[in-house]
Amino acid sequence: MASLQTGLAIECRDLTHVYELDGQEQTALDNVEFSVAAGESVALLGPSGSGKSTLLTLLAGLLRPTSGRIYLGADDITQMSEAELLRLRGQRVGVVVQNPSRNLLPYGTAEQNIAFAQRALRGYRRADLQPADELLYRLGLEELSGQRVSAMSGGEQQRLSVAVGMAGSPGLLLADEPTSQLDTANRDRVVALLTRITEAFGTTVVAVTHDPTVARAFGRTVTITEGRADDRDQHREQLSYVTADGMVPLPADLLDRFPPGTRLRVVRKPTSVEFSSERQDQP
Amino acid sequence: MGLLLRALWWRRGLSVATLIVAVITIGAGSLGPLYGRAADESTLRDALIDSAGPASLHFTFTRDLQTEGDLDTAAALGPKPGSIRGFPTLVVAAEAKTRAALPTQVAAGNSGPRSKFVWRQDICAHVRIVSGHCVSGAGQAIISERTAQGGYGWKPGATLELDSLYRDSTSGGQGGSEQLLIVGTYRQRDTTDPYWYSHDYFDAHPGHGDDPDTVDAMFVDREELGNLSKPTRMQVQLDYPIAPSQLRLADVGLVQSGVAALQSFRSDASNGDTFTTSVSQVLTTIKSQQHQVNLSTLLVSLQLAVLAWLVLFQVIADAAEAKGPEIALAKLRGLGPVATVRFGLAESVLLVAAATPLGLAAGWLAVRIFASAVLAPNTPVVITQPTLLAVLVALAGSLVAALAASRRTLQRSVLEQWRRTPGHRPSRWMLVLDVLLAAAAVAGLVLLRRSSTAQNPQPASLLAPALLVFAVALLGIRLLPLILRPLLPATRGSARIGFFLAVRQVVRRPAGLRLAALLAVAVGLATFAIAGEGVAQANRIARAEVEIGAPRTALVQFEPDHDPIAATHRADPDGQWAMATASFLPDGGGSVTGTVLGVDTKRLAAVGYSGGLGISTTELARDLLPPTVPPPVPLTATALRVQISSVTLPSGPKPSVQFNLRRAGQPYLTADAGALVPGTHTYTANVPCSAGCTLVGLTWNRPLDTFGPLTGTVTVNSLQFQHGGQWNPLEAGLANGNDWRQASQAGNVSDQVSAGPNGLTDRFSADSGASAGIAHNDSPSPLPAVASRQGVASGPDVVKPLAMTDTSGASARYELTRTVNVLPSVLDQGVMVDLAAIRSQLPAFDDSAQWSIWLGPKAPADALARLTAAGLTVQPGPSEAKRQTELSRQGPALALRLLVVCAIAGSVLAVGGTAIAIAATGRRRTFELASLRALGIGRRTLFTGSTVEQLLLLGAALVLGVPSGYFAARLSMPAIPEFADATPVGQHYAPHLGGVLEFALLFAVLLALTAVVAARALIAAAAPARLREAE
Repeated sequence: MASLQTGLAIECRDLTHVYELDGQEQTALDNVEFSVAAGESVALLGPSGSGKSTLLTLLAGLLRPTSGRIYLGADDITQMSEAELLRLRGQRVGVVVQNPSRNLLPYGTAEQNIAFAQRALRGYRRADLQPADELLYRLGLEELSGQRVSAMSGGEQQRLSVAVGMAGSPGLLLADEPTSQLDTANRDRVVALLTRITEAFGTTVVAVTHDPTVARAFGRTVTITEGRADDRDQHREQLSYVTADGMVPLPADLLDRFPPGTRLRVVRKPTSVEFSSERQDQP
Repeated sequence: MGLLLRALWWRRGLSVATLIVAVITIGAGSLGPLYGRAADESTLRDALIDSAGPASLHFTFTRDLQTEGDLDTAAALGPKPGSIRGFPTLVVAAEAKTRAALPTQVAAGNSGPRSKFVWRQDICAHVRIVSGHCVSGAGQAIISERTAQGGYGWKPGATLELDSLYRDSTSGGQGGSEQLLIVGTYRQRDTTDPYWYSHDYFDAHPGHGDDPDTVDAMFVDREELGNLSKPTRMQVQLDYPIAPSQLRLADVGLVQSGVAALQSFRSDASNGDTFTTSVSQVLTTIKSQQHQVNLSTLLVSLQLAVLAWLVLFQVIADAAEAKGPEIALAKLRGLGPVATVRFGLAESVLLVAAATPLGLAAGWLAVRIFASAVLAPNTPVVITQPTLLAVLVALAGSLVAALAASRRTLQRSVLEQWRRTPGHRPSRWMLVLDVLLAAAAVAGLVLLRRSSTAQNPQPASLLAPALLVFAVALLGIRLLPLILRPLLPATRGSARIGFFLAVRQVVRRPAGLRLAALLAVAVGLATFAIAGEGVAQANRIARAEVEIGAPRTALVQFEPDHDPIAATHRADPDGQWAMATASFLPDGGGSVTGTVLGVDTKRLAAVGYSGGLGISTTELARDLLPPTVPPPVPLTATALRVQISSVTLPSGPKPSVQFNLRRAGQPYLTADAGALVPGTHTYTANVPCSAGCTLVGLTWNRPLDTFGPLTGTVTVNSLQFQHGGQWNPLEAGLANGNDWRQASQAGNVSDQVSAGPNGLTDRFSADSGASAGIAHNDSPSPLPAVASRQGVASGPDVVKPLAMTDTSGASARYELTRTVNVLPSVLDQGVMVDLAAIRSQLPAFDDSAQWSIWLGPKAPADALARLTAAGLTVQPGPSEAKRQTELSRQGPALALRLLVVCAIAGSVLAVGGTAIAIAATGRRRTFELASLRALGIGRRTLFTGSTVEQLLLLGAALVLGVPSGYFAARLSMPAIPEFADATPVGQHYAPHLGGVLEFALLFAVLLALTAVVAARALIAAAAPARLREAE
């Protein structure tokens, strides 16, 4: 069996990114402090336009921050050249984006897509290359073997995208909204696959999502709001936010106590709002 | 490789398009050398066939033939047949001049007419035996049909005795003069057959004065040479006919070196040995034509290749754009720059590589098909080293196109690729570049026009139209958004959203403008080519019409007692389709510097061409029509007598009365009636006019050895002719002074002719050895004549009155009624006169003239048969259609015709490229259109908008291309060579609009269809469901 890299740790310090469009500046990330331990699985949760995809793009080396530092393992990727960033993505960082057509060659088979993703490694870590069928098997995707991408369903394509992201046995797998175009069943399969990767490979997984259900499947959730990240202790005091349609996502661990469908009493206080269960036996 | 092939199949539409365009690009690159080589072969073959006689090798050796083997020895003096490439066979002949007559005639002291005693190899295969049979052994001869009808008594079964040739008596033979049995009569199959090699075997003509006649050659069998006394001096002729079908371009060097080695071959002028050939001159003339063809072909094919390259660039750019997401994926997966470029270019490079042999094959096939239509039959199309080199260059160019076209997509970052709308904005520097390019094109055009003029056209001028249409297209298309911009507010205010969208899209879309510019260049080039070829074809037709004179011609031979003018009138009594003509070169000393062409004036308008002359044949005929004159005086008689009253006579020896007559085959016939005696007397002479003659006039013939002035006054009282033993009066208009005139036009003779109650009086005076006399005025003097600009000498040294003379010394006065640029057949070096009139005034005209019959547009299919039935021996001569074909196979014409084909192909290719580009960019546009549909704008409105948008762009290309191409034709055609040789026939350069409008209309339909189909495809793909695709 090919040797695998250990998971990469991530640390972002004072990370700021500002977009310039038609002479106007828009701050996507504002002094974000963010860290992920090696081998951890983290969900970046936030509404559209919150800056979570920008953060992922910066982590993948596809964009350079306006200011701040990003460390993957011991390497400061903000100081890397374009060639070094290419090698980073080829050897150590796998990326899965939302649209399967951007993850896969539509005319190739599952094996050909995996082999294509491994091309960058050919000159470097030949011994580490997992055969495509072995990778598919390890990820429980052996049913996709031999199939053309154009013949696969959306869910199958996205699961294959995850496998392709893992083709080079990276230390870090970044996934940008991997389930947003999928139905519930396929969503769950993809999420299960992503979480299995951390367990089976030790790869650090960071996934961007706007779905709290998806976020709950990961070990930790970092909320991104208006370009700011917050990953404070979830067990004592946590932050949430009100969505555009008036919803308030509960921290994942509270959902056990207040599963969906629970009626809550909302008590307005002068400076706060208190939620309590209508059931007398639940605080 | 498996992934690569899958990718090609995935984008099979673009892959096929790229392959096709690459094939065309490579094919266009190979076109120049392939076609140039084929055209060179065709030019070589045409020139060698046209000059087959002069280009052949001719040896003559004058030898005393002693034995049978002497002829073989003489024949071996020449090179071995086939030892020089292109001359595979040898024709041997031996001839001797002689006179021949029937033995009884010889016994009576008449040696008979002059002829040639000829043995020629394979003679029986080259003549048609009209009666009897061909020679098959010794003692036999065949004579020509017209000789048999010549009144010499020669006919099959008769024996001829030859003068100066003797039988061999040494081997027990009879000895004595050579005698031959006439076993048959022959007619030439084809007088233009190179087999005859301009040997003058068929030179039958009457003798002048007391000189004997000359008849056509008598042909004998080889065995007869053994019967001759030994030695007999004969001229041995070795003819090596050239075989054009065996010669290729590659052989030319060998031929020239082989012939050069022969130049010093056994040349002994004192012995009468000669070696002549014009093959080197012919090959040298061909070379300059070939150079012109090669250069012109290169320039034409270069234009197609550049156009194809630009379309290839566009198609590959579209393919690269379609592959953009995969290239971004490669970068996302960490592929390095080299690997990414390899991945990005793999499909294009593979297609270009596959297109290379296919393009070469396509180029070869295209040239093969085109060559079969325009070049000499069976012209080979050969792939040579220059062709392979051109293919390599085209391949390299295509690879450069692939790299250049993919550059933007390859350099785009991953995030930029994922953005739905491209961030590219048109650069102002592109406008500067366009202006500079257009300025360079105009400068190039001006330079080309200055270096090439109508008097000195240059092949490089073929580039001029491309430069012009390029400049117009480049700048014109830039103006399109500016022109449409003012329409924005107007369309915004109207309810027609489709027009608003269309105008707005054209105003903001630079990629579409580049495409429209390319299409405008292609359309402009095609328009120029069509207009230019129309001009060239009209000039070819005009030149052919002037050079030939009529749609068809027939070469004529006729027996002595057959008048070709009368025979033509018998065949075509109404004068609607046949006209006799004759051309001759006057004897030196006259004012005519060119060739005299006699035509049957009353038939000229119906039969001859007007085109190219600058004057209609009706006007020409009016200028040539002689004034009305009295009809000729025909007579059938054995004797003539005239009663003359001599009022005064010169002292000393008296002049004699001489009757001047004309008869068929002997236009100059005199009969002496004795010296003038004072008083009234009758003067009688026998005349050989039992078959018919015409009275020309009376001469007061100067006595021998008298040179002083000869003056006197005589009155001709009456004329009589004797026929059947009876004397009858001859009505000759003696009472009408206008019916008679002075006979001689020489300045040292004066005859004052007047009519009176006693007859016609002539007060004559002649000195310096001349004789006075009177001529019946049935032939006008001076003759009306029309001359072309170099046909008649001009200047103060020209002797007046203008006159032309023949070999007998007779002269005919003429008066120029008009001077034109060119005349039919004789072009800029000729004089045209009425044929009957010139014939009657110049007795030796028939001997020297070359006769032909012009067949007009209404000539029936059996015209030649009708002329034969009227007593003429005819064979097809040059025709206007054949001359046109020859001119259209000259180098410059071949290049222009190639340009037409290439330009039309290029414009269709450009339309194809446009359609591909619309399809390729359609995906991006469908999001935009889907959004509009989601907003509630209907399909019909969007379809109208898309169609109008495409029509604005494609229509702009047509509007720019067609006028610029037409204008390019007007501007450039005077400077573009149309013929390989200079011609005095005027050329016209105004392009005909018909062909251009036809092309424009067809192309407009094609573009409209493209626009409609593209719009339909766009709208069909613009479903609102596309908007569900989220970032």
